[in-house]
Amino acid sequence: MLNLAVLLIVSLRRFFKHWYFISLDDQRRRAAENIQNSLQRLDKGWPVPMFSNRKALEQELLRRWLDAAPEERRKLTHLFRHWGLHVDRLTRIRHGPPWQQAESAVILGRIQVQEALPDLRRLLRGENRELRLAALRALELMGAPEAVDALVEILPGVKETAWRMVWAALISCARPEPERLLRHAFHPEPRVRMVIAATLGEVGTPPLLERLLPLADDPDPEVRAKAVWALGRSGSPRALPVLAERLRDPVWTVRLQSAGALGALGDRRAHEALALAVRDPHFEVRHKATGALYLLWRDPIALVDLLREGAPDQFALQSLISELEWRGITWEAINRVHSPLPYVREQSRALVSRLIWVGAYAPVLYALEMHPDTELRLVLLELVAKSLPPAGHLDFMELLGSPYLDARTRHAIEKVIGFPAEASDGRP
Amino acid sequence: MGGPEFLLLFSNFIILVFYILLHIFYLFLLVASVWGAYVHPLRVRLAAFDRQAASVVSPPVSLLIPAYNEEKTIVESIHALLGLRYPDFTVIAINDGSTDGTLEELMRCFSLRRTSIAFNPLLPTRPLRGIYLSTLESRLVVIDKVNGGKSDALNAGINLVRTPWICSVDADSVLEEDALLRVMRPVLEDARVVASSGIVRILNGCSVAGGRVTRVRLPRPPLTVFQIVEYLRGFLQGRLGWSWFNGLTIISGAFGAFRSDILRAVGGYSGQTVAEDMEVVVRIHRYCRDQQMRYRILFVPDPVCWTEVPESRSALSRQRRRWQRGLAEVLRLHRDAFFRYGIVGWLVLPYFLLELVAPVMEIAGFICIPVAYRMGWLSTHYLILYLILALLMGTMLSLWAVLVEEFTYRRYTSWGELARLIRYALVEHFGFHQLVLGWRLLGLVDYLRGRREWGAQRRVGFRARPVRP
Repeated sequence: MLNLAVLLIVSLRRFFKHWYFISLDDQRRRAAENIQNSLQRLDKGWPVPMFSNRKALEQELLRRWLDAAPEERRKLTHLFRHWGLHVDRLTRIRHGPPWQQAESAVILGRIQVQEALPDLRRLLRGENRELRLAALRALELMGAPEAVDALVEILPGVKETAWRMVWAALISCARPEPERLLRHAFHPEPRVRMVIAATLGEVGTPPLLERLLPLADDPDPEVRAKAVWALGRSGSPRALPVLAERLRDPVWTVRLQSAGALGALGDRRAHEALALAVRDPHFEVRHKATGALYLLWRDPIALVDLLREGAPDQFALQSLISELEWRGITWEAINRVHSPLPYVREQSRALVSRLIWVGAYAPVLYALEMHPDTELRLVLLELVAKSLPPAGHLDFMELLGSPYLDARTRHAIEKVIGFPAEASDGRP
Repeated sequence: MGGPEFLLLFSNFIILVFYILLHIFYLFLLVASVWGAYVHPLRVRLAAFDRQAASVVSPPVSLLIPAYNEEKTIVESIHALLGLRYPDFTVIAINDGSTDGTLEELMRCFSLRRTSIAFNPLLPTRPLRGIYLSTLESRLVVIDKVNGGKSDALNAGINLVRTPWICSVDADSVLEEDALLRVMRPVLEDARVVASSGIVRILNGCSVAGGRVTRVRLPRPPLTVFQIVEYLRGFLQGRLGWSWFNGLTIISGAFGAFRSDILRAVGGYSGQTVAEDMEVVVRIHRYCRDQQMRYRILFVPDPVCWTEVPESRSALSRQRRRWQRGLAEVLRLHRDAFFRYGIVGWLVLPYFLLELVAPVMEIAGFICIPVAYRMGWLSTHYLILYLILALLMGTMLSLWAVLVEEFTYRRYTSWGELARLIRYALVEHFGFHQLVLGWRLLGLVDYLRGRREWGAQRRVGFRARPVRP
């Protein structure tokens, strides 16, 4: 009996919902026509809505708004206000039940209704977490600089775990006037300092970022990490010694950000500090430092020479090789060893030769096996013949077992590594 | 009272206590999940996914996709993953020593080139044979390694990850376009979240094109429809309920996101169990509580991962036996966590202990109680109480799961599909459930006999799936 009753209830609900949706679709269609007509006749003044279902009008406006280009969005926003739909939402955000308040906040944020700012500030300070999240989302969508102080105000609360959302809202709100953030940069609460540094890193101008220099010595490691990251974006020569100093920070995340920041700064005087950081005990820091070195010079040949001269630094070389491969530089060089442009050809050959010499020939092996251009493979083999260290012969001998090699390449490999030609007879 | 009569009545009493305890848990989860299912869609309505998809505050994610003999599905899966809406992500596919043409297929379709990328071998794994980058797609990395099982493959992927978040995805699963955005939404809203998982729905019967589900339909085979009812109950009741109390201990291997530093700190996935997805979550709970961290492990029901389930009885039997064995292994590995670690040790693990012994108790009940009644040792009231607990309560829970689906996410839209789902929910406990109990019992036997392997799985491939009009 219970099951039958449930079945009956579900069926009735579906039945009514079915008709409700049909009617809703019809209302939306009429709302869409109304909006379209209104947009077409804008030159004759802003029209009044010819349709009474305000909910359908609002839904259709918002749907169109999401897919619209900026110019059309501006018109739709104007239409939304002209038809007084924002007044309904302002009433609901002030007097509605919590979920309606939250929904209204997000809609008002999307439509950039500045009159909602006091209500959004009120929601931000409220006890209800869902409402706080909705207000944060609304402020992110609205991007109102006036809300910066209210956003900073909620950050120190120990229960506020949505700091990423506060950060997103701050980025959006502070973009037009980033200097508003500066007065909070030395807030007593570490979380505030961290978020302000991170936000300024996104939206701050170089002179503003330069004023974050004291934060690089902050007692809180998260603040230091964000501050050095932001300083990397400042382009200021004054940041260089501070960032170089932070490469010796006891916390690896700070060292990591510092290495990345020195690369972003692009000042070649950072070379010495970064060359030391490629021996950092932490793997990620080593990698970042090598990447930063590459960014400083943008000359992989010089960098390989630098790292292999004197006492070769295996850590640094390995990181550099990895970095070059991640960035696709090695493969690009391999593809260009046969280039018709003499400069490109010579540079590429120089890099590939050096990589073979330091033992980073895995991409070369792969190209010999799989590259479709036979001439290119033969050029690569010439480079292998010139630069291959004795320890690498075994790897090239193993390549002879590959079923993908053509006869010409196989023969050339055998010549290069001194493998007797007869031995290859009968191989697949 | 004679000896056999006493023994039978005593065992009946134990069975009744077992059922009462189990149903207390079920009702507790039901209430939590109904509330969760009511609140969650309201929250999702407030989300601004368009903004999130372009936000710099969305943390970068590495999608790990372990593959063993997946040549039929791997390329389409990766294409689908690369088409996900998310601002910053990398796909790391791990070929776990496949014996078919998985790697060759990847090389052919993505123009892979072998590299000598350096990585941090923090987690021990079987040897890597090569790391490949694609010349066509800069967000794709492929690892080729010696076969070591799913957990080993995932650990190899974790070693290569450089992003703060990791998301594991099965090679035979299909994610919805905004699934990653949705599963990462709680991460933005709550800095305490260390893991987040989405719902796994059943792909059988659906139409798939271009690595996306284009039409959701109920499959024809009854065995698969029963599994849909089971999945709805498992996800929309069990996981949603436990998640509400921060007691979620299973994040499906098919689709789950983790903070990479936490995953590394707990030592990655364990190779000691076939239920590595459950084991790692229990370990994360323990780690976070040991470190006195404020943390959350969440289940969010709106990000959808579609996955194939077994259509034949033998394949389903293998899967259920493996799950049961995995559960036993996890409980054995974490036996010292019972009655410690807050809700996990005091409620979740004891609940899973009841689930572990459920096949023994329920099958014993199906035998002992009718025998005792037949012998006249049991009253009719007792029998009715037993039948209500054993059959009707289960049916009611299945029905509720279907209703939660209907009232909230409503993926099966036609009247016929709704009627079929309700029909299957009504009859699930009269045959199918007992069949599954039998397989789970065999799983326990496998565990006691020390069986370890995963068992072979046959892949059909998305392209082979007929697209119904």
